[in-house]
Amino acid sequence: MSDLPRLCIFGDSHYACVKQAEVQGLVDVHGVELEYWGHVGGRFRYLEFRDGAVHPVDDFTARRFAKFNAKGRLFLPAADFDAILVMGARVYVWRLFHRLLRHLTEGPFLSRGLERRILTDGLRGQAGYRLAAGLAGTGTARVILAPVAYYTFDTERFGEALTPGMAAILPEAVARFWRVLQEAAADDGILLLPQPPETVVAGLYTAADLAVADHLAKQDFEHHNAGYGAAILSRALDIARRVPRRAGLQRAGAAGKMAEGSEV
Amino acid sequence: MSHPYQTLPEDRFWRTAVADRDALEIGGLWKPRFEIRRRTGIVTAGSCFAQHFSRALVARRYRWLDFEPGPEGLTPEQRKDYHYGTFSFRTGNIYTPRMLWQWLSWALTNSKPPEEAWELAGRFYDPFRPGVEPGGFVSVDELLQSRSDTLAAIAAAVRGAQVFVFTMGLTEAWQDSVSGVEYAVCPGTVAGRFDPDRHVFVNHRYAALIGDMTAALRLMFRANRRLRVLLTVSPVPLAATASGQHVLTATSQSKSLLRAVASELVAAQARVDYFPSYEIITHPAYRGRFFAPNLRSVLPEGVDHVMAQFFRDQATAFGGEPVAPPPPPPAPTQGEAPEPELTEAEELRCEEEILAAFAPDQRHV
Repeated sequence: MSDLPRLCIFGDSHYACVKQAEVQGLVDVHGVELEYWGHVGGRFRYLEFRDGAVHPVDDFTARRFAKFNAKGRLFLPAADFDAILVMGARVYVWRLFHRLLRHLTEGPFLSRGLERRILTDGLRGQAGYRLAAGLAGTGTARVILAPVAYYTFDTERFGEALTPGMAAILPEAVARFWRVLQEAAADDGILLLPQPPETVVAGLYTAADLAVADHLAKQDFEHHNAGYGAAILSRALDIARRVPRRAGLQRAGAAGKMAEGSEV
Repeated sequence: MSHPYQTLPEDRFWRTAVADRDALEIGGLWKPRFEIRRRTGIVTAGSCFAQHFSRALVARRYRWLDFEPGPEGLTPEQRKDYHYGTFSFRTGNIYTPRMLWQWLSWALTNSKPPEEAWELAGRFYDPFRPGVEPGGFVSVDELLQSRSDTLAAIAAAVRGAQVFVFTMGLTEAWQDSVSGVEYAVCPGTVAGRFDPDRHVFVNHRYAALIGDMTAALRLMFRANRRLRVLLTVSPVPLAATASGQHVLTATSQSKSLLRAVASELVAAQARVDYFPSYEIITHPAYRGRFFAPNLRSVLPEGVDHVMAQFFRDQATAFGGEPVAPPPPPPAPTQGEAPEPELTEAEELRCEEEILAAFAPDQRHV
């Protein structure tokens, strides 16, 4: 039985890029025991937090999640891990930021107080965030949240989404938005990772070289590749390595029951 | 020998109009001067009771006008907490005729409000609407910018409305002895610092109240010749008095004066009317049934009854059926923010990403 710190990557389809980063060896994962628990975003509607764990509300959903977990977990207990990276998990910020930038440049007047309120309500109102907050509220695993990355930059698709006025205030405003989200998340016991600056172009987009393969053909501007996954995973690993080990950590299977015939 | 009382209808006699009736059957208290239709553009302002008017109008799909709706996409809770949509502009409560006149003169004339701000713990509060920004503004500049939007909204409301409903609330207020401006609340209560050498208590007397309301009406009618004004008096008693009287007698004085001002203005000005929500809630005929146990808060059934009378008396005077409110919509799930639903194609892409990443050969790039 390993004594390594245990990091679970919990997410929707956006967690795939983290797995790819690991598989492709883009990140040094040694010294940390990694586990994945996730499924497509549509299934997140069928998850709930109770009794210290994220539970699917039906058997079908439980098996869908178990299918992509190496140990066939049917549910995700926070206490089984030292750290949990909540990756994507249908926690979106792009629309929130874009809407605020529009208010700030086109009016009507938006105070900083209301800006903060819109951001914190917008974050806390998302079901994926509430699952993260539930996990953090157990006081067991350190919960790290990486919201869904900005859309992949594409001039044709997004060229006019940011007006010159928005672009002018964007660097300062978006940095402030992230700070507000981080503070709100910290109040809920969550360490929120802003999108890594090296992955951002034009202030509010993800660099095209971090898109999934053939993203233009697939018209997929939302998912990202192993390079993006590496940027997030390396940060999460740093944190996981620094999290103090908890005595008596429950081992896999003790709390998160296994599914029969798990495929991975 | 005949006399004028012989031919009067039932509602002019106490026994037939009040004593012999169940309180909820007392009707016809208002003989409206002008018609308020669904398409009539209505703005509301004043004491806290005024917000019930806007809610009732909106619920019945009347054309209540909001000239300061705030940023798009706010949730109902955010709008409520930041005082958007409570009144037709974001002044918060306007309790006195002087405060109404003050706002109107800043909005409709060259008169400028003082750049005074109340500070508390590094945040700034507008002395003329201290409750509109929970937690205060981050700077005086932000406060003034926000106030400027409100003044523009007031001007647009007066110019764009057909009916301006104003609910008078109090006669007591605090003023700055140097500038003469009147504050929304006593300095030092919500924020700011009370300065006994500068901040003075006033309990407006009848002549001042009439003078302020007349001046306010003049400003409004000058800006909009078609405007009608509907006055009401808030039935909510004073929470506290600085008059030196008992709060109960101070309440009587305040409300009596405001009620008298309303009648005087109706008598003097053809474009002004008074709707008796004050009587419907407070009169002994109703035996206090519309008050909560604290005898101050008005119960929802009281508000409903007031507004039912409003629409019934309009229908009686101008024809048509009293408009009933539609059933309330189902309550939204608390704290639920709208999340983009995945289309079938998006869901497929998501699944492909996961399958690729977790495929046994794991060669996906």
